[in-house]
Amino acid sequence: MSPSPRPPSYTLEELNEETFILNLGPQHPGTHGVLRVILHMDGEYITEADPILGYGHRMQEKIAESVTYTQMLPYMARMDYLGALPYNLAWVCAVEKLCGFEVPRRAEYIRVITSELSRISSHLLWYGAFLLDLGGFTPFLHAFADREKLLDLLESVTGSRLTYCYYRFGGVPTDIDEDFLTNTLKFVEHLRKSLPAYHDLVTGNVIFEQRTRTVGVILPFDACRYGVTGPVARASGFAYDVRRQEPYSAYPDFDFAIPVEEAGGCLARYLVRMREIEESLNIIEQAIHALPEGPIRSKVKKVIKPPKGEVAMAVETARGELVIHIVSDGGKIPYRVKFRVPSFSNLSIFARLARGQLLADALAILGSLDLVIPEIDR
Amino acid sequence: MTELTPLRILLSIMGIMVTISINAMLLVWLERKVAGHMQYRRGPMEVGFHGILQTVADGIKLLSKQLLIPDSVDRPLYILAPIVSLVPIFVAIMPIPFSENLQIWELNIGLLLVIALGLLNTLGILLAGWGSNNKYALLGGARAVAQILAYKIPLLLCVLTIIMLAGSFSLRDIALAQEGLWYAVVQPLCFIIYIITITLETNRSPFDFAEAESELVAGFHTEYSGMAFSLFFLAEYSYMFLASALAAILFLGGWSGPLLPGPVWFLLKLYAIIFLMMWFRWTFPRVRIDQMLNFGWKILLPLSLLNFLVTAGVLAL
Amino acid sequence: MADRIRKVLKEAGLEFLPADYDETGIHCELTLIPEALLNLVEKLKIHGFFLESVSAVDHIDKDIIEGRYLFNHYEEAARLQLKIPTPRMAPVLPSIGAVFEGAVWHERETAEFFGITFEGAGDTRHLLLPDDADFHPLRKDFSLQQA
Repeated sequence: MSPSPRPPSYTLEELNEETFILNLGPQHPGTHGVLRVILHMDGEYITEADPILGYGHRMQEKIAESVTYTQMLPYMARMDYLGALPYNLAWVCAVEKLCGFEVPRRAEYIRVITSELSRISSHLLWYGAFLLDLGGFTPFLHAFADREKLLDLLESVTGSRLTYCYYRFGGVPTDIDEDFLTNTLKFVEHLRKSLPAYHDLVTGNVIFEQRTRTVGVILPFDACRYGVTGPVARASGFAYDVRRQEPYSAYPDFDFAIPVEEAGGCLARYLVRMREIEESLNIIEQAIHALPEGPIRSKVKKVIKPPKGEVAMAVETARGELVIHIVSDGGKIPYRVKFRVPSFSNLSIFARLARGQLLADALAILGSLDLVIPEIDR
Repeated sequence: MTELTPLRILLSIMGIMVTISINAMLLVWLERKVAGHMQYRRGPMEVGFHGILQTVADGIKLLSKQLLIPDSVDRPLYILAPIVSLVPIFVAIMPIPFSENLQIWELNIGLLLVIALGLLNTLGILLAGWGSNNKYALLGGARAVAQILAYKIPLLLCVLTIIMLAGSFSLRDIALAQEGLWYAVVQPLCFIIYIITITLETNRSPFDFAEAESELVAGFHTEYSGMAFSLFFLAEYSYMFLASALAAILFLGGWSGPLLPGPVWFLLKLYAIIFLMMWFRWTFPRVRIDQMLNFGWKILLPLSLLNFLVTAGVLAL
Repeated sequence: MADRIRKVLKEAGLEFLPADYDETGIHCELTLIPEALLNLVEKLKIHGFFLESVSAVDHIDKDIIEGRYLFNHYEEAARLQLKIPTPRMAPVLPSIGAVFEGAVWHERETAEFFGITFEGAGDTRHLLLPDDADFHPLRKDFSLQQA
């Protein structure tokens, strides 16, 4: 059995004379947040990559042990601010599971619609940022033009554009109206018509394909050992989606496909996410057409005091599987909360993937993993 | 063919400075407008009619900035680099004919002079990369040199093909020799290769690795700010102007065209090629450096060599 | 459901203890002694389980820190939780970084938050806390006010 991986060495004696250290510093256009990667480079080739985390560490898990369950709600959006609603969903579902609260059907459908909109918003931004990493400046603006419409939709119902705090224990606080439904359907149509333009500009382009097809291939065996989830795992051949495997909220009512690719490279991850946008549009459409009438929030006590016990709630966010593990001792403040975030595991495979790659490829890999560093740092 | 009297030199230097400055201002504005419209927005609109004075405003801002020279740089090289990039252009513009009689300096090896001086841009980039004492800048400079080595030869082969067809190194003669039939029609492969190589020479996307923003922070000009930074930009746009001017003369017949006066046609063709290069930049992602080098050595070089030999063979018959 | 877990546990010679999935989200929960961990983890790797997380819970009233390992499977809903208790004064757990490389980061984080020593771990640097931090925030005797 091979020994446990050691950190790269930084002593002068052990550093090969031919290599130099390049610091992809916390401030860098290509690292999507405050991530520092120390690269040992031999010319343009990377011999070792050592991510240094913690620049955005806020000790959320200890904060969770100091505030009530309701007070923890706004913190969720601050972890993954690009796809914040699924994080909200995870927290409310976890506490509802622990306490045994019922959620009205209408509220579940509203939650699904808004979560899927948030997922699309995250993927659109990722599309633009990934292409920006590769040097194509235009798709970023096309994606953002469409994303603006989406953010307007979500703002009309939640009041925020980025850090949402829309769900409450037992349902949602405000109802959606006819305007929202018509506008959302219009948006779905509009995005369906725009997606072929995105593919025309990018997917068929020879330069793009050459730079992403064989780069950063994650083999299925490695995926297991590092625990990658989400589009990264689906691009390596695993049809693993928490919404299908451990259904929660109203997802069992909807019919959607799980896009899977076998190749495992950056191009595969790109294709999976683009198809996921289309599937999310399908879900939204189905949910709107089948939206039931009824209350939007069931009556719950103001002060949440779950019974003694534990719960693990798994949710599919835009980046992968989020597991919130709550240990309750019966009081109104949690005893222990553990957030298992998808980007943490997805980034841990980067050091292995970057070895032997060109700097340009390493950045393409980092972009294709779709990381949000505050989520890793918590 | 007039000779270069001191008065003529003085007037021409003033003329060149005016041309280059106006051209640079125009190109910066054009780039931002083209980029804007391709990205569903409109670019600068505030200063002047549709933002045409935006570059003037930016220039004033840059001039008023403090010239920061970091302590750790190699001072002579650091300061010399933008100058080495920019100054050769002033001489290289001299042999370019804007019309049959509008030419500063008729030189019978004009083409050779322009190409030789065009190479000094890369020297400036290398000096900037090395002199900045910064790993990112060094990587940018090294990439630029590798780029040029791979693409100078196909470029020269294309130009040699045209020289063979025209029978002269003088730019005026080459333009005149295309009476009736442009060389772009006779040598389409040559034209395409030339366009690719000039996009590379001027470090434009999809080949802008020397300044690749997302990878190397800012590449060779990471440590430059204010006026020095704008000198590099000026140099880049002036080289675009120079390379497109050569394209117009070598392949598109220079100043020839019906109705409108010669210089107008020349400028139209020149700006059409520049627009093409801008179009490339805002459409394609960046090519990876090793893929580009492969492409240069394994595809472009044999193709241009083949083209050259075939043309030589046909001409000999 | 959770057939794969049954199979793996049978191979490792352990008993399958079902947990209420609808209430807790976990299919099977086991409490092990530290020595039994590596054997089971190797079998889990062979059967294609992926590592979800490595963490811990500080039970100050029982004077133990419990290491918590979550595993899941891509092809079947099979969440397995392993609880490894270890004394609070000198918590030591075996490192599984040689089997699941992704555990290296999880262990680094758990070590700095709880003060657990992972035996056999190659990389013991701090992950999220500053390099010179000598406190363990998630221990129950550490209050936010004192930081």
